[in-house]
Amino acid sequence: MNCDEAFELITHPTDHQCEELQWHLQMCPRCRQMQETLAPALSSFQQILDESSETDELTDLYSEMQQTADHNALPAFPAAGKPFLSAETVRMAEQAATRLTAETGVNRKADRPVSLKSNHKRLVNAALILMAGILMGWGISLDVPEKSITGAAGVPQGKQSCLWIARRDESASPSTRMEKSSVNSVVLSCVACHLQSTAE
Amino acid sequence: MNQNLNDAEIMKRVCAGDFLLFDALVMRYRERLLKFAWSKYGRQVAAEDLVQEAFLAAFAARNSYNPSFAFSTWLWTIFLNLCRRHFKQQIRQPREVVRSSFSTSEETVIPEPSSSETPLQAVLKTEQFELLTMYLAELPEVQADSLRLRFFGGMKFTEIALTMDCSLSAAKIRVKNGLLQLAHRFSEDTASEGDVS
Repeated sequence: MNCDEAFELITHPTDHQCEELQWHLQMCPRCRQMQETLAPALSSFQQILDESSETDELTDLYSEMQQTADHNALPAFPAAGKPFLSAETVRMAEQAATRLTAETGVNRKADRPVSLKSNHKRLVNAALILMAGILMGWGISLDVPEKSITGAAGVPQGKQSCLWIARRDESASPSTRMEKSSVNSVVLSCVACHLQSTAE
Repeated sequence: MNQNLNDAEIMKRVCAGDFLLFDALVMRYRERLLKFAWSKYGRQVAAEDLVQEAFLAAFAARNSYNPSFAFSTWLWTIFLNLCRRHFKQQIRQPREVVRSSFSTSEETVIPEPSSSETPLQAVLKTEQFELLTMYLAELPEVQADSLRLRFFGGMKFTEIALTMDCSLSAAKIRVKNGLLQLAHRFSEDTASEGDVS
């Protein structure tokens, strides 16, 4: 029994003394505290329910209170001549039936286990997403320039490649000439390259 | 024999023309509805009229009943709506909640005690019920109604949620908060009595 079920039993009109609840209360200080806090209200309800379990006793109880009330003071019900059951009341009952039908339908849908068909649909969706991911990854890998930078970690896209390395490569192959770059661009390229490798 | 039939079967036969069988449903739920209404209005005439009107409405709208939901939930929903309508009519006029039957009025008559109880027990019982009725009237209506449905109607939380058109957790919170406030009120009352003595 969990604490939620214990609360249901604590507030149960008749089963509030069951052994299962008593056992739970012994084990759970939180529920015990709750029961002690609610005790004045609970005992009042339970006392009345225990004592007025028989209809005759209930009627006695009510009739005593009736004697202190003035029946003519509050004309809350239709005056003589008007029908006791109005069309509005019947409409209210019909609306209640419509609402309950709709709500029980919704609850049943929610309670219904997930069908095989919807499971299959989910699997297909997951497979499609996976395929799309693989294709995107493959596409990105195709965009990477064939000329890789030697001696440095992969340079992120959009960042300037390391100019020191480029200069070294240039000296290794005199046929290719590198454009003269400013000091500023060299510093930026170093920062980009070394920050990336530090992060990795 | 009627006792063996469940509510849905009885309604099915009532809809088929066996109208007298509806009496079995009246016998089954009348007392609980009366307890609810009496704790809310404290006047027997109003309570009995409301209960009767709820049964008549259920009978008149019997063809709209659907066995997919419980008859008891439907009946309680009708009854609760009737009570709310009546409550709105009542609050337009001065509300009267009797604190004790032992007022100064000369018309007050102590009922004959039943064989199983002493006059003192009968007095205490009535006082207890009146006190509870008074404290319930001080609570927000939804909390008080949730408590009445739980204790006087003997309903489960799921049924309370359906009847009051709220979520299950809301029904539980209403009952819990209502009980907390009632307990606080009863404790205050006990403390003040202690101070007086």
